[in-house]
Amino acid sequence: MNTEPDRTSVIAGLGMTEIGKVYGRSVSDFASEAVRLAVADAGLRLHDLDGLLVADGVAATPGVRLQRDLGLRDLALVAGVATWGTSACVMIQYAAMAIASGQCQAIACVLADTPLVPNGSAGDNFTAAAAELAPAGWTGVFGASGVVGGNPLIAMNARRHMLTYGTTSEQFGHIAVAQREWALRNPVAQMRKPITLEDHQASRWVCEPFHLLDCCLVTNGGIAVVVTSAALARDLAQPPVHLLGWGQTNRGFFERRDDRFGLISGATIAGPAALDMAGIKLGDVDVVELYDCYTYTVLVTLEDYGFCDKGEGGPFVASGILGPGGTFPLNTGGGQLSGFYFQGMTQVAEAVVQARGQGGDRQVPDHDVVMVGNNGGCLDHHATLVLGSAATR
Amino acid sequence: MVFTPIRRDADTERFFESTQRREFPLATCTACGAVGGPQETICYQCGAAELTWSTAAAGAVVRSWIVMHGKPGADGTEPPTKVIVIGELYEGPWWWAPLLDPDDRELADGTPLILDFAPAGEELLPAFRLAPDRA
Repeated sequence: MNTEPDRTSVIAGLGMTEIGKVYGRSVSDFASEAVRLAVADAGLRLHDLDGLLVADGVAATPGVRLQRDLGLRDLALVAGVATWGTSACVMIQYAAMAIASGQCQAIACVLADTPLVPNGSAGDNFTAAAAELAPAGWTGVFGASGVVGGNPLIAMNARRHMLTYGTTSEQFGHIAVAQREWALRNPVAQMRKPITLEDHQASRWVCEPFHLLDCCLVTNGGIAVVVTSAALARDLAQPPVHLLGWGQTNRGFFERRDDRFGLISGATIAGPAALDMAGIKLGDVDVVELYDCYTYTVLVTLEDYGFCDKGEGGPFVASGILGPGGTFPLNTGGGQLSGFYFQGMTQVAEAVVQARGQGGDRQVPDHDVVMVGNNGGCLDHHATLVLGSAATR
Repeated sequence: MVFTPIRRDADTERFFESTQRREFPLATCTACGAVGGPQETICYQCGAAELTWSTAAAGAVVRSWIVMHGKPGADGTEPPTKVIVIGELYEGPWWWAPLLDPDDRELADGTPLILDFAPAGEELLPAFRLAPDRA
């Protein structure tokens, strides 16, 4: 009989602060509370943690000083992670490796942000954070023309997809409408009013080809998860969510003739790698949570994971399969478009809720395998997690 | 204003020396012949360290574009829009830059462009115009 403890990793705790237009609190304050909530959710004590991974927010970051704020001593692992939209999945991947190696027993992974300010434009605040880089260097060269922040970068990708494959703005709209329908069933979602395709088309241009309703929300608050071993999680408070597989692809575009910029992301490699590690096929996936900073990002990732053929993302999302009651459960909490925006933690949090079967009105009946995709930068980074409910093992 | 002011630094010194002469610098690898853009420090294709520098011919075509909109004011009026294109230079590298004097002609994949330059504070930055023979 094998008496080795099971060091495969699980997400055992999930913590989310009050989110949205919450003012007067620092990013460290949100991060600290999110970690304490995640630890309590798991049924652990704060001092059971021996690892801490901290992601950068877009507008602010708590940094590794968070250890002090939490009063934690002699941690076996502390690091900051800053790969933009993939930081959440990346933190969890490195946590899983530290659990597997025996370096750590229980690691908190946290992402918090404070882009919203009273009487200010959140977009301006994001842009201001990015523009601090602008006066010099190559980032500054492009920033000098106003190409700062996510809107112009991802819009440029989306246009290229439209030019090459005939993808339309209306097809992007189907994603926005379906996710809003999911958000109506999520009590913490920021956007709780139904929208139609006509609303999507009539919403103001932000950066053509993107309308306002193609773009994600902006959120203050924080989310943390606790990663531990399957052996330890057995006696904890929540149904364990197993990390069955993961992958990462950081492409390195060389933007020149014949580059596939806008047409593919790193998901083409990271997705199959994660499924291979999990020992399952795409058809085994029950629920899909994909990065949706913009509608387009969802569409290209669906193609890249292989849920439809390359270039067929438009007809696929417009075929009536999305939304509650559809046959393809995607971004079931409303995502970043209609739920809340904590970069990749938006997808991770909803995946944990679904895998545990705690989704309430929005719970997907079959939820044994949940696939999570994170995109970072100008589709420079992609990270995938394949999560399994307790029933999978 | 097409560009906000920028200052050169160690990474961009060579680039701004060229743009001051209204030249767009390209890097050719002495080992494999690949032609890269001004940001290259080694060959993007084979990794060789030795690059020779030349000047782009100034012809390009559109590979993608966006139209940036500002937030409408309190009275609902929109600030002026700005068109940014990815131009594929004749030599191969792509460059993101504003389209100067955009008009109502429709852009498409392959629309011909020419390189131009516009001030960014005390420096000059590359920008594009629609090629005149397209009218």
